[in-house]
Amino acid sequence: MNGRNLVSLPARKVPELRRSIGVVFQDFKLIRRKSALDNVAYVLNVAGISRGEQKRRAYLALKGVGLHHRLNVTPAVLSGGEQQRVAIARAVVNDPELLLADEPTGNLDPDLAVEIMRLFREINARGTTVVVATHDRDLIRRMQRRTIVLEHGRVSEAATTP
Amino acid sequence: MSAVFAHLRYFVSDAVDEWRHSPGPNVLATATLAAVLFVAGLNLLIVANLKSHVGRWKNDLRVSVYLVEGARAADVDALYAKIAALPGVLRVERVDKDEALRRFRASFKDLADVPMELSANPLPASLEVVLDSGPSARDTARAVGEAVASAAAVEETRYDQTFLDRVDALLDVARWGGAGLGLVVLTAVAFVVSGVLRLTVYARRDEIDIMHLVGAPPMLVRGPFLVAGMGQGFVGGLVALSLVEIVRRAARGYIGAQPGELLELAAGNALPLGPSCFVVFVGAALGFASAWFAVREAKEVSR
Repeated sequence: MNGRNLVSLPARKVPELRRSIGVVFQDFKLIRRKSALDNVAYVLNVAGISRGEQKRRAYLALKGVGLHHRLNVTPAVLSGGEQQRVAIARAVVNDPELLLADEPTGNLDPDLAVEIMRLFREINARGTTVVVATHDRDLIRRMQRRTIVLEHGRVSEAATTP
Repeated sequence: MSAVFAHLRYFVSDAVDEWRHSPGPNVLATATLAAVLFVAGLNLLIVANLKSHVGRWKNDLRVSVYLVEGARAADVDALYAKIAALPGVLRVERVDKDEALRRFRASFKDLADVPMELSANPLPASLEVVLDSGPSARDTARAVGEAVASAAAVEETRYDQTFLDRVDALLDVARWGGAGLGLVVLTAVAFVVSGVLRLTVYARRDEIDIMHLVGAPPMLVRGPFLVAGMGQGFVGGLVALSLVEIVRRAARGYIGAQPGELLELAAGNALPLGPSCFVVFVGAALGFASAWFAVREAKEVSR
């Protein structure tokens, strides 16, 4: 990844690598007892950024996904789409080189899925490589982006670029 | 340095947050620690009180110089003057045979008639030497003993130095023995409490998983657990001290006169500040150690 061989990466370097990658999951993986703002700010806390700066950047990230009016609510209060947007804000708050999204729309209805994919487009447009893993072929067709098909862990179709 | 403070602040706020959200395991761990520290606090209370009394007795020595039967008044006067002139002697009281008998009857009411069954009063006259209280009292008592040892009017000299030294030595044995035993018990308790804290770790495994996914270093994941453990021990120590004081006051209020004297000896005064701080410190250290065991053994945190 970016010239680094991850296979030989020592275990103690893994947290550092993870801090350079944003990850979005199908089940959102938000910390239930923390507010939306604190969930996003946690990534910056890990990076040792001051509390004030954490809040400022977390607010901007949530604003970027249209959730700046729901900063202090916990995930339990948010809808599925809103939770996924918090997860995306958390994934991009520290400007990662790479964003991995594992079935990010799996738990969302089709309209919300399109909305989430639109966010990924915007993130990609800002310079972050976005890799989305999905089973939703219809969504893939609508996105018209480079597609790699995997079967049993192997590339089964040549990569296609629209 | 500011990053260290920021992390510490995060550890504390996260620990408080965790306490608020899942009080059950936290209360259980705190109660376990408090129970053990309560027993340790009671032990310290008794030892501290007994040490204090023995120390005061040792500093407040009296020497009894028993006179031979029929000692000449001139010899006794000379002895009196010699003792009174010694440094550290506050005063010398004459106790004649009648006064000795009166004191015997006052002290041993059940045996009051025994001397009267004999043909004559068997109790000897004596000189009671009252010493200046303080750490030098023991040396003064020894000096009095040496000064009168060869006097013709003296039958025997007594002071309780040896007895008090033995009591003191016994208390030292009790204190160090208690400390050794306490160390073993506290180590066992650390494992028990770490088991309870592992429940907390287990309850937060999803959260810990998320922390790893966003690249939190192990110390940042463990930190809140360690601070929480330390906090539980600290609170447990305060609770234990409060219980010790409540029990001490309640016991003083309810126990009758005779056992009350014994109680006064063992728990007349509250636990002093030093041992109290020690209990709280041990509690915090024990909580930290327990949390350390818990997070070290939990795969969710250590990977």
